[in-house]
Amino acid sequence: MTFLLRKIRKNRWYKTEPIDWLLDGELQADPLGDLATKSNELSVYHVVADESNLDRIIASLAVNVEQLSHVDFAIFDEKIISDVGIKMKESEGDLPDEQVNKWHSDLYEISAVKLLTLAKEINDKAKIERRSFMQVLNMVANSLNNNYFDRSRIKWTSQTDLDKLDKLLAGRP
Amino acid sequence: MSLHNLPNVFSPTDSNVATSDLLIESLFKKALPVTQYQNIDARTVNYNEASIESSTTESVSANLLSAQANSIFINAKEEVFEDGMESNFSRNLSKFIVSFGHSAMETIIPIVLSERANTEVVSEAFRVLGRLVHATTYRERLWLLERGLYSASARVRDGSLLGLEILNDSLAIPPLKAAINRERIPELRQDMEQVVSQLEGNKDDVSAKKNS
Repeated sequence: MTFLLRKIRKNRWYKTEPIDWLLDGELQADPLGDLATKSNELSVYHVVADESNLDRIIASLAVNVEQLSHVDFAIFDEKIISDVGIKMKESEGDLPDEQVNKWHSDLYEISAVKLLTLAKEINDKAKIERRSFMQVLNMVANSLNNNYFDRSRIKWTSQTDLDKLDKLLAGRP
Repeated sequence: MSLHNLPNVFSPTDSNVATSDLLIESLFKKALPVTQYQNIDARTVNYNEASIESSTTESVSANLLSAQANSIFINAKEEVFEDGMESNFSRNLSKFIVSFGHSAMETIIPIVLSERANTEVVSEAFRVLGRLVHATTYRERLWLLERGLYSASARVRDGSLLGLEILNDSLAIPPLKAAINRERIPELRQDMEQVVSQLEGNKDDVSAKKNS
């Protein structure tokens, strides 16, 4: 069994938030913002069952943005995709870690109806988690220590963020 | 400070563009240099109808600053925010605060706490407040972030939490613990507990050092 990871914003997916205008069984529209398709495709990463590659994926996602930030994500059973009738194809990712890129796939030929069904399935069945920016910083440092990617591939533009990373790395044996 | 340094918050397609230009022009005629704002303590600022009077008797129109702040928030409604990415909103808000210091905060606070502004935008504002490196407004930003934990919107409370996490100041521990006791959403409560653990530990020593 493998799982799929999709980067999201956790606060759009609270399952227990009381929303008085929302009818039973409905999903508010904002989570769809985390499933924005391009050419009717959606990018996902494969996470192995024991999640041993999870931190490596998160670290690579985290350095591919402009700022050091927490990372929110949904992890769900790959079976959901076939249940919804969405197709999936292997596709090279575009992150600094070449191995992580091999764990990338595209969901494709996604109709609006299928996208909504996928959102509902994720809302009902996915594990929605957050890694704090401090945890993310440690994951990035681990990836650098393990030479998963070169430091030059980090896209952070803030010297403050880079200084935090350097300080953390300097404190390691 | 030159005109081109002002955050460009007025859309050129805005029907109020002529008015907006006048507002900006007027704002600069009345605005104090940034360096002078940095020496004004917001707690001693007196409001006098449309203007904020400082101890130096120089004044800047509170209404004009308020219009500027409102524009920043209103124009952000159509933006798509992504974690870890800059946005026009984050750039404009940061520039506004750095440019006008305490006076900027005085205009932002009522917008953010009004519970009428777009929750996604307010949540993003809290992240910006946490990330900003600006010693002059540090205490006001910390205070506002703590107040954000009382928002009726879970999304805003989370934005406030994320801002406090980045600020990494142990002064936020008591308000965060109080927020944990109030919080009814388990997922958010768990994230709050995580941040409290971080602040209580602070063994990493990579704090923002109060933006000094």
